Amino acid sequence: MNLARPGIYAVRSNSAEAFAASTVEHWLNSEGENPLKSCLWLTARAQGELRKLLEPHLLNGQPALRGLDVVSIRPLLGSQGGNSGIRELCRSLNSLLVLKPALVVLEHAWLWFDQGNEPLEKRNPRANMELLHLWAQHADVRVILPIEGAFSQWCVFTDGLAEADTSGQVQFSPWWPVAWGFKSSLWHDADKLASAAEHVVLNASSFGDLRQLAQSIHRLRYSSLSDMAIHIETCNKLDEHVCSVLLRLGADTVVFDGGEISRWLNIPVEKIKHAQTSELPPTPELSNFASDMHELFMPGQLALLNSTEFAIQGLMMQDVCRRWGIHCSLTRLSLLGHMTAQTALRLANFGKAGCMFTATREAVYLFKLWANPPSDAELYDWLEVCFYDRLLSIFSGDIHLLQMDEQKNLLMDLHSELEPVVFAAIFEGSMTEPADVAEVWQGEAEHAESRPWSRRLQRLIRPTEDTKT
Amino acid sequence: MMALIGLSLFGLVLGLVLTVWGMDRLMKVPTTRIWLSDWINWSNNKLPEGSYQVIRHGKWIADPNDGEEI
Repeated sequence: MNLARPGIYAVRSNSAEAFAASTVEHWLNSEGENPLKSCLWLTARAQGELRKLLEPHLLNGQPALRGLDVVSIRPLLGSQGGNSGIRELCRSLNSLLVLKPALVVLEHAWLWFDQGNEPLEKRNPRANMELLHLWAQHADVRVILPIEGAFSQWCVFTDGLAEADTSGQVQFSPWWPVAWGFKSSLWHDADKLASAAEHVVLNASSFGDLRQLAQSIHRLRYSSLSDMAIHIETCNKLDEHVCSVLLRLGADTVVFDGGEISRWLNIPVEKIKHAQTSELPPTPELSNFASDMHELFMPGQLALLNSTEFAIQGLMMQDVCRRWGIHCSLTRLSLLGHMTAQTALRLANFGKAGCMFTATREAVYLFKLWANPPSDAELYDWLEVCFYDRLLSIFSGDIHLLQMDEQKNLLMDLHSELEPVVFAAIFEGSMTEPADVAEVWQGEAEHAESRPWSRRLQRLIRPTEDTKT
Repeated sequence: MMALIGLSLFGLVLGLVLTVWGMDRLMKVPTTRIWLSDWINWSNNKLPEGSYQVIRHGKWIADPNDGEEI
């Protein structure tokens, strides 16, 4: 496995435990030839198993061994996590690593992700991952997070994400850092990329801002029928997090300053077309750009959330909007006197709404992303498709908040809502029969099928279903 | 008198420089780095809450009864 740069790498496999052990064994077997001088393994394995696994190495006293540290998190797993969050974890890891650069294999990372006493706007998975990423950069550390089964939201914010077998062979990687930039196997298999019919190179600096670049990539990917590979060339080294989003929107590679695409990817120069912004096809704006962006940051969650989660995710998405130059709206729909939140939400069309929902006893709240500031007409057109019934028969009025400050105040208030609706009741008694919230969000089958990103990510989110079918 | 003060100041500075240089050299070699950090106890005092160390710098240090109750 190529760990080109310090950062956070999430790797999903059938057995996280076996993958972690094979990674550590691989490091031990490289006998000091590995540039990573030390390896810190945080594991939940029983002592007996650990001893059996590591005894041969401990007995032969190879020089690489002095960099090995193993910490057992088994007691923590038994108590389902402590009170410390990512900030405290980084402090601990920093004090444990004596030799650098280092490799950290962290099993059961969820024990730290939703913990800690961070303020509400910093409690989201993006801020947590950012903390871990900053520490990894500072300490020159590659952190591997082995995962199995369900795919947590924080995986979306890692520097690299891959599906691997337990021996560490990568099978599929939606985004992964390489020496010259970033690459993705979402749109083309790694070995078939060079043979794509057309290679289009976009220069990031010729776009005014990140949103324009993102929109162009998205438009090129979804409006063209040909087998096209999209490469992004950047003069400044783009933020890792930005690169991974560009890849999920449609790009195949992001090449940093000084990199030559033809050389790195072995593509004949004559097959490469450098597209200027003015030359891009004048296709209309894709209406699903904003909801695709939303989906990238909150996969499978554009549906009903409890009010605290809604507030945390809303504050996170406000940050994302500021960064990417996109817009968001927060809508409050007051319920009619005889209408309960449960009934109103049973009438919600999650698939078409493309936004997140929450409810209190008096109102339903919707948070949506927009590529451009929405007009009143656009807002009402969208609201009409959010519910299966007429709005007037469910709600007595609506308020749209478009100012970030007003939205923030309301989100903070929602968090401190004293009597939240019992969501379990809504899920259990759902009339629309979606077995899983993620399924509702996917909407029509053909829509999901047309989007390789959602299709392939869905496979990561719900692997058990796939194996059954 | 001035020469004596000057000499002792020079000695102090030289001692300081030599210590910094020596420490820097020691920190660059893995074995002495581990030895030094253990001696000053820089490491192992901030384990993640609720966890315990099993192997430290390639040596098994865990007690067999540690945290095996689950």
